[in-house]
Amino acid sequence: MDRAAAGAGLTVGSLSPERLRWALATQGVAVRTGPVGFRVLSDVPAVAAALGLLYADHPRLGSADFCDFELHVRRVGGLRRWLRPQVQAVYDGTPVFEPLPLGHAFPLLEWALNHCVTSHAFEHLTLHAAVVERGGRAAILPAPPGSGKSTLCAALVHRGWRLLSDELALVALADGRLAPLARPVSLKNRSIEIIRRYAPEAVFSAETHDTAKGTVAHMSVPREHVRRMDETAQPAWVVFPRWVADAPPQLAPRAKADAMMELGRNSFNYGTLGRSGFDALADLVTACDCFDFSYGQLDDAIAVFDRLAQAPPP
Amino acid sequence: MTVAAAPTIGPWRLNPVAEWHWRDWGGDSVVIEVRSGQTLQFDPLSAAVMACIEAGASDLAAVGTMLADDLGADAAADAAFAESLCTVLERLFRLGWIEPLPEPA
Repeated sequence: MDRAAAGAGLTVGSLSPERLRWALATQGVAVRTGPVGFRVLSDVPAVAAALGLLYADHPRLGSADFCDFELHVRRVGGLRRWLRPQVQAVYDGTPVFEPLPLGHAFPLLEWALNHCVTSHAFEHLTLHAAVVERGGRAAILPAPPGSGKSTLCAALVHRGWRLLSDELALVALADGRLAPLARPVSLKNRSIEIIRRYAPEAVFSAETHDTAKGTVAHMSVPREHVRRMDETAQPAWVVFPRWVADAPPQLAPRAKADAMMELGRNSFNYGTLGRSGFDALADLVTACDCFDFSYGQLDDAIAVFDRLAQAPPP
Repeated sequence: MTVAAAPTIGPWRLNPVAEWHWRDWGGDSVVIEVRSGQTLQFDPLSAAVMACIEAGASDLAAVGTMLADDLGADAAADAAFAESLCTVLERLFRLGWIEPLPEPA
């Protein structure tokens, strides 16, 4: 199917808030994010509000278009619905995670979407990493939670780098290029305020407190980045970021074999793909300069990334 | 050479059901055993030993000879080097990538 053609024209934002709520509660709303199409059904108003805000520029698929998966985000029944209302995400008739407080509905949708993408992306090697692009070349930022990956990604996105993904790097097995997902950036705790100040133009969802990850808010993808979500990018750099308070920016080369092993540990499906996953990952690190990067200030970090992008390709 | 643990002296053979695929960046390498998906990072010595075995070396002496051809007899005769060699071979045995050569029927 030509996904780009299927998603052309209609956007989520072309639905009025009332119409979006109604559609979500009845036949669902199908959205395309890069190579992935998903349909959401939900009776939770907060899901409609956040979807309308953060996915406004995303193409909407028609009822006859193929979706990779269908997710229901719905309230849990029983006495709890009055006393301690909960919400659960259901994919293919099976709950994806344990039910969460009703107020966590939108983060739950995003986490469930991550789960579905990683469970279905067999044409791609999937890595737990942010990906940003400039001049056709992409930087992959793999990192564990707490390393400042999403904060750095969000800052880069508001300083001239295009967002491909905040959470999932999709490396095409066919040609090794990186596919954009163009989904909202998940920020946690102090990072929310840091990015609000750093990029006052950024659009945020309402904050969700007391999640397993603390306070969470999602930042929308700039419209132009959504518009370009069918443009893949050539991997050029693998940068393992680490935020260290007050540290000067330090970019240190990392051996390719070591980078490959670390990326493999950050992959969701390397073990499933076997030889093709090995080849994709080895080709990726061969094509990239690999670095460990520590930084204390976002402006310093941006300057380092900009210097990478300004250097001519090898 | 120092005395090696029995299995590392040989003779051995490559695990007949295993299949390896390499990527080498001139000094550091990564190897996958395709059937299990087991992926390992090899230092230069481990890579060299594995390459010797893939080239047909089936005991410690043969690996030593092959490496001596490349590195020079002095380097290969060094006791610490021999110990490192045995450590690599023990690792390959533990992984099941090489196994003792079966007795002839």
